[in-house]
Amino acid sequence: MKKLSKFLGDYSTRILLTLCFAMCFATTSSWASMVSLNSDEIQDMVPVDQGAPAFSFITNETDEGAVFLTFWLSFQNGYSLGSMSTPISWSADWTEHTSFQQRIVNRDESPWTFSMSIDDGSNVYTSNSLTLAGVSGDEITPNVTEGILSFDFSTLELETIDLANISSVSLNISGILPVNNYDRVAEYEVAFEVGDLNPVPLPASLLLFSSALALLILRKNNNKTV
Amino acid sequence: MNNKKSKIALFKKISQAAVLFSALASAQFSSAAMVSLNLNDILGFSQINFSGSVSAQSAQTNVDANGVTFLTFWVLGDGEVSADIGSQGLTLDWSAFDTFSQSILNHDENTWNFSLSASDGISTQTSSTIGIAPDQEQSLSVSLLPLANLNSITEIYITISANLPLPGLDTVSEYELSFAVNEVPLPASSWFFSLSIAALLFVRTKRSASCSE
Repeated sequence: MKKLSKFLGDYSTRILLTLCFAMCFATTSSWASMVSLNSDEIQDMVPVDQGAPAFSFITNETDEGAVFLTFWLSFQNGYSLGSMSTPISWSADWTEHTSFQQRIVNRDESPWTFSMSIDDGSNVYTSNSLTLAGVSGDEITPNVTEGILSFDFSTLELETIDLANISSVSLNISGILPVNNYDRVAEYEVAFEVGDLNPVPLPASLLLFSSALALLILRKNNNKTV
Repeated sequence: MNNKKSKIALFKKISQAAVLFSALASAQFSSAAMVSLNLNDILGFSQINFSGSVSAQSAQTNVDANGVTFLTFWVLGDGEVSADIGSQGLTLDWSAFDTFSQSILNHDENTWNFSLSASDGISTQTSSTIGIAPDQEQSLSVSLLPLANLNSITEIYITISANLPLPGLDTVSEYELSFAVNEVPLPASSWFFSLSIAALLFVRTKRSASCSE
């Protein structure tokens, strides 16, 4: 009987440890669910010819991303759109990811509106729009002059997206020209996003919960054995 | 007694002549006036030169009632750079002016340096370089007097410069060249004013002289 209970105790401990390991593995996996364009991909972005007379250039590069310039000439008025996109040769398989996030910083003195588009070869999906305020010098104010453009692949709108065949990612910048009665020049930074900015701290809470559960069961088993 | 009166009258006449002369002299002095660029002059501006590790590019991005807004940028610019924005191959007769002045409004989020130049094909006169802060407007002035051929100004330009990148990874400048009144109408009005004052004084003196007689 003693041997049996010892065996069961050891067995349940092993099961618990396996469960704990599995949960830890699962939380680690969920940590890597977000995808973002990396600095090389950002720096390789090219202007998209949309027929509109918008001109785009990369004006600076950093370890975290790149600074771009998009401008329109003096005859362009009203709502105007310019885009930067990953090159034609680029493609990606995002089947292991559940979301896409990209950080945008407005480096201009005027406010501009930003959005991102993902093309899976069949459809183009567009993110939320962000209007970011103008800056002075190098000041950055979170959620005012910088923001996150994101896609949550688990939502109903995006459930048909073919994540295995992402063919391009575009950044769109728009404004009603001339912004502030004179401005047709936008300066902005596209930054590589390292951490998941998902506000729900799922990995940490899962880790805590699973370790606490494992400890409780282990303690209960030990008490039973004694 | 008559001798004293005539002396006083003579003194008055001399003093009036002196006032008239000084008024005319000041009017003549102020006729060496300031010249600024008008709309057509500024619309003809383009990038004519640059210096630095990378090439500069410039474009006109807005025209309104106040002036023309320009964009000058350096792709992956680093270190000291500059660009000249202006017109070449001109034949402007600025012999009536002694100063070239231009107002510049910095629309950018960073401070940029500006200077103003004029050339007669033989030599170039350049203003001092000033830093203009964001949203600030300042006038640059350059003396034209050292130029030998003021009746044949061939080149005018502004120079924008900085040590890149500026704060916020900035290599892009936005600035507006404002229009101004081309000729200051001070000399003509000064002439009329001083002549009328002189005439009034002259008439008054004559009347008082005739009354005393």
